[in-house]
Amino acid sequence: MTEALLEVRELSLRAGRRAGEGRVVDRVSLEVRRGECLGLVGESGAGKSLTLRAIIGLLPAAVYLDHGEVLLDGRPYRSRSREGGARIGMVFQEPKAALNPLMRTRDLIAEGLRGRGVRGAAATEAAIALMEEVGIDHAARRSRAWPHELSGGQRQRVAIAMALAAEPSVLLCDEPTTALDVIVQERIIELLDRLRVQRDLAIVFVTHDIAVINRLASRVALMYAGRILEQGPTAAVLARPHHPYTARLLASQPRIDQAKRPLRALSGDPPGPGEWPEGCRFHPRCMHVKPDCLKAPYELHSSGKSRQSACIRCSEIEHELERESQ
Amino acid sequence: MSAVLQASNLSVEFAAGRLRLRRSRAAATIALRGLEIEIPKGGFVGIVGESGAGKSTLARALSGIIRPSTGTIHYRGEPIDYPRERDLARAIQMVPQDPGSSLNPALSVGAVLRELLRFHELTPPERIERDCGELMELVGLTAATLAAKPRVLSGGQRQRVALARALAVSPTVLIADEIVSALDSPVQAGILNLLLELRERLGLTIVLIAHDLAVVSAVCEHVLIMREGEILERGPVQQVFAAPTSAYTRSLLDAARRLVLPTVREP
Repeated sequence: MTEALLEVRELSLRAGRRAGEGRVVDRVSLEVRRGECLGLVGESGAGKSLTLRAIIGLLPAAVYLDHGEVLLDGRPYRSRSREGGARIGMVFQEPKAALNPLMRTRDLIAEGLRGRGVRGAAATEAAIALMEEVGIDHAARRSRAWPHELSGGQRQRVAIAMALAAEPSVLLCDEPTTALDVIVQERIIELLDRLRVQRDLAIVFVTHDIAVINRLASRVALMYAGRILEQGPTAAVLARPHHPYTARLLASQPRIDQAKRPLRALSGDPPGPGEWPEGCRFHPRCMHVKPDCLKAPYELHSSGKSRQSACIRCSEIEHELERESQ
Repeated sequence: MSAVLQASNLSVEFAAGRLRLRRSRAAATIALRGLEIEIPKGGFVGIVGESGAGKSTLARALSGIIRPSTGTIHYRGEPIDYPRERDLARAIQMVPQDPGSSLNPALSVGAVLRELLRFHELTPPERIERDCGELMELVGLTAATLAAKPRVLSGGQRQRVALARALAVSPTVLIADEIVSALDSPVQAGILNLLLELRERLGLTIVLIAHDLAVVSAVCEHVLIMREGEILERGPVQQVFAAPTSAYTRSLLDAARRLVLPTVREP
């Protein structure tokens, strides 16, 4: 077992001024090794994007770090420091919003290169090489293009090239394929997977789409109401969920290989920050709820080989869960 | 099976803007190219394609919101005249993609529905309140939601409100433009089930625009595959997905199938 390259320990974020007030992310711990992709899955408002932003130090104005630390290669990571800042890159959902419309493609990518001391003609050359690496055809010509002249897929490739320009060892991806059409999405997934292997990148991939995670991530963590409810190897988790939430999320996915009507919906909405229930966060929507589930806030515990679940009844209800996710 | 909506030689062009940038020689954009479409009465038809294929333009043309450049659309055998008569505008209702921007943020859900019922004079004034409550129940919400402003509602709830607004005028055809695309799967599943249920209960004809083939496969009977303003392929969903005839449909299906989830093992 190799050491984790990126480690998030007990990360808590709050949207309030005082410590402990208005928690939006609650004691989230994650580990990613070199060359590994970790999928972070959950619904809107679960705290996935905030967790990513906290790692790279780009929290929105009203959100504060309450507790926890981020370690890169075993050392505390400081996003603002020069040597540290270059080690983690990030790709966002909307490439249109991430690219400065007043800069040509090559200048956008060159910004990241400047931190490494690459300037002038060498920077243009390196920018073109990066564009080729991320699969943009006619890179020399397109390097002079403005963002609005590129398609959605090309823009996302440019955004990835920008992130790579600083030679990061960790790439954080915040739903980078959600806004794209299915064929383009497919190609971006292939690109990220290739970069992971070629550059030995550690990737944290945030999405609400479990199918994308199944393609890309060897491990998955499921987030709900600010907490991780289950994590483990992707294939094992999806084949045999150890948490009722995972099972319900899987059951609600429409599947192209089977017409299944009606679909399995989850009643109600996930609780927002400040509405988190006592005990297990999922219990008001859980079909397997027992009085014990309403007591202490349940922590992740080992539930099998390299697997963790926050459900206290997971071994009892495993068979029920399997039936449910079909 | 009779067609409730029928389009023949339907083309839509958008003229180049009057404001031209230097060196740009923008010609008119052709969004739809001579389409022949029949929407069967009581059917559930999916329209699939990538961004820019013309799906939303087709949705707007079919609902009579935009006037075709050429061709005609028949509703129950009668050609649509523009601007539409109020009865026709009621009969074909379009639900837009983003209820966040289509619902007036200053008005409560109840205010929107009451205004609509008053304007269309479909309900005697004394029954408006009761009808609003029934509409909420029809879309799986409670009468308590009537007091809420759109801002405090979740994405799924807002989409249900948008459906209630469309259903308030008792339409026969519902044209839903990517109404589940922005939703998480558990919420999305709820809205798709609601569409199936509404069709059953109200005898609606539903046209669902989607880019997600799995969504279409879950609820639709017929599918049209669009690309660059044309229809490449059409037919019953199971048939088109099992044996696509165009290379483009195959590539769409391949991309979607590579994202399929593993089948859960039997206990």
